[in-house]
Amino acid sequence: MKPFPLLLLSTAILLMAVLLSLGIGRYPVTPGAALSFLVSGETLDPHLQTVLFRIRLPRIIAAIGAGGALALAGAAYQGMFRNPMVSPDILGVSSGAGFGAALAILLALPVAGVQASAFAGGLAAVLLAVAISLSVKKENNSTLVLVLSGIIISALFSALIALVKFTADPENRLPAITFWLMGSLADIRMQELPAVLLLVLAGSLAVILSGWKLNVLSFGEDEAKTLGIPTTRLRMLVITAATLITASVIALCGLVGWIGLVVPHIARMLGGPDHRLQLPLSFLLGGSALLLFDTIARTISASEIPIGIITALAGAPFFIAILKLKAKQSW
Amino acid sequence: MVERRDPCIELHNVDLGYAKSQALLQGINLTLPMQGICTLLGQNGTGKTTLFRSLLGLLRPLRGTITFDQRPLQHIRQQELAKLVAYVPQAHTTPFPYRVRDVVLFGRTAHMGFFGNPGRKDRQAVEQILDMLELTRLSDRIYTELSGGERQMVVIARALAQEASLLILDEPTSNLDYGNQVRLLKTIAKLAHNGTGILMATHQPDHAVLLQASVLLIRQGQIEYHEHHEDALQPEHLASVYGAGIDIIDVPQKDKPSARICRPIIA
Repeated sequence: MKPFPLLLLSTAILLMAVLLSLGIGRYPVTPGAALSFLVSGETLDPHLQTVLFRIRLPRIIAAIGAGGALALAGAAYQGMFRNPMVSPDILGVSSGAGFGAALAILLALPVAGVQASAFAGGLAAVLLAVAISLSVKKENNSTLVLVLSGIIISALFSALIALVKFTADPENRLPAITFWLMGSLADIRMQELPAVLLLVLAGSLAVILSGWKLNVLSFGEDEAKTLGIPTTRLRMLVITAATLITASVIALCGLVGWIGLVVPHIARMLGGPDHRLQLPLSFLLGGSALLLFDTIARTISASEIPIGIITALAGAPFFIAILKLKAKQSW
Repeated sequence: MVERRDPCIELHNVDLGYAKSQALLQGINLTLPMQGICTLLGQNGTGKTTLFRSLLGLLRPLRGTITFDQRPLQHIRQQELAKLVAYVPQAHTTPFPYRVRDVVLFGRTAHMGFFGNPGRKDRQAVEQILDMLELTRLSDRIYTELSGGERQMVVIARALAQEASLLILDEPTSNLDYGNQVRLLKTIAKLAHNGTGILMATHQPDHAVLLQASVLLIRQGQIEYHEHHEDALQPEHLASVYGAGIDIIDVPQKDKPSARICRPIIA
């Protein structure tokens, strides 16, 4: 499919998902009423106004931002590491953020404190992984060293999470930590969104603008250099941007797996390997996917199911299907 | 009056290799012109690719300095260096299925800004190069699905799109059938004729004769430059380079100067 119609189509899908998600819930809203709310920001019924504006809309915005950011970061990392198995947490951002959040919950910090701590933890983990890879001075295969450092740091922070859980009070804190780690978009308020959205948009823009260079980098570090790309600078730019956006969305909604791994594959299947198309396409598709999954998570049963469980349950069979479809072609 | 010299690469007292304790090439002093064709002969593992990687700024010399046109290599930015030297690595592949036209377009990267995208001029340049190398019929094919020989030609097209003064080729004929080898050598001769400098590693000493090239011989951690292939292609030189007996035979030809062939002595 041509780039422009593809982007238009995915935008249309995203808009439909928004209308659907605005409409579904304990207070159903017709698509027409949802559309008029989106356009004017008002409804006739003040009670419904509260439901839509205070509860559903922030959640929808968060889902789009988080899903889009995770998918975009995944697509960028898969290109940069030349490996279709890579997800955005390859450098340890998830376990770092998880540890930050768990520690903050253990210390009974308020929501904002937990978010800040998760964000800081995510950044710290990636910073450590990068520092380790730089200290291992190896002129070739620096990508491999970076990935290995990320794996080590992930394992370290997973152990630290376990340690925090082990010491946490099992009545109160432990369930809170466990629930946080499963991810949720519930209780997100409008005023929490601007800071996260700002980071997500700035980071995504920086990554999308590097699309051409990422294309060249998929030929490997050495060739990209001989083609004139300052690869170290590009890698640091992509890692910084991807880490800022993933850490901020994880801080907002906890650990949400699979989106960052699976969605880039769908984007590549639809639009080909060119990152200039694949990155924005991943963002749009990732946003739609997480929004749909979150709508399922909050409506499928009386009590809400953590979003991380839904994405994993849906992601695994989906990924198997993609593997089968692509078995005969190259990545 | 200052002497006006042709642009060249100079190595001053350079050690090359991956670790200080085991430099592959030691105390190299060399001046290479950035024009004409130069073939690099040497056994496997003696440092041909190491020399190339060092000239391309991928590997820092363990000692000494390399200069391009009297500018130290380490002071030249990657993007600028890409306009001076282009690289054709041995046959390789990428995990992602780009079209041939796009692969060649990657060669234009050095001519774009940091967030730059290819423009109409870049696309036109690519079409011209594909046309010149007679690759237009491949331009919409998927690069990862091509044969080894076709891929090699596409990578050469990509290097040409770079418009660099010097083209470094690492054993470009090693994966090609006889016909493709001949076509490739013709292309190289044509490029050199049009003013691109060629530095090419090969395992066929005959290539030096066929291309009327100068020769770099690697032996015992040293590199020797011979401006004329006749000086380099001597049985005793080749014997010590390859550790095998090689005859140099002049075959008389009708209405043409005699042809010189290298022939290994097997028994």
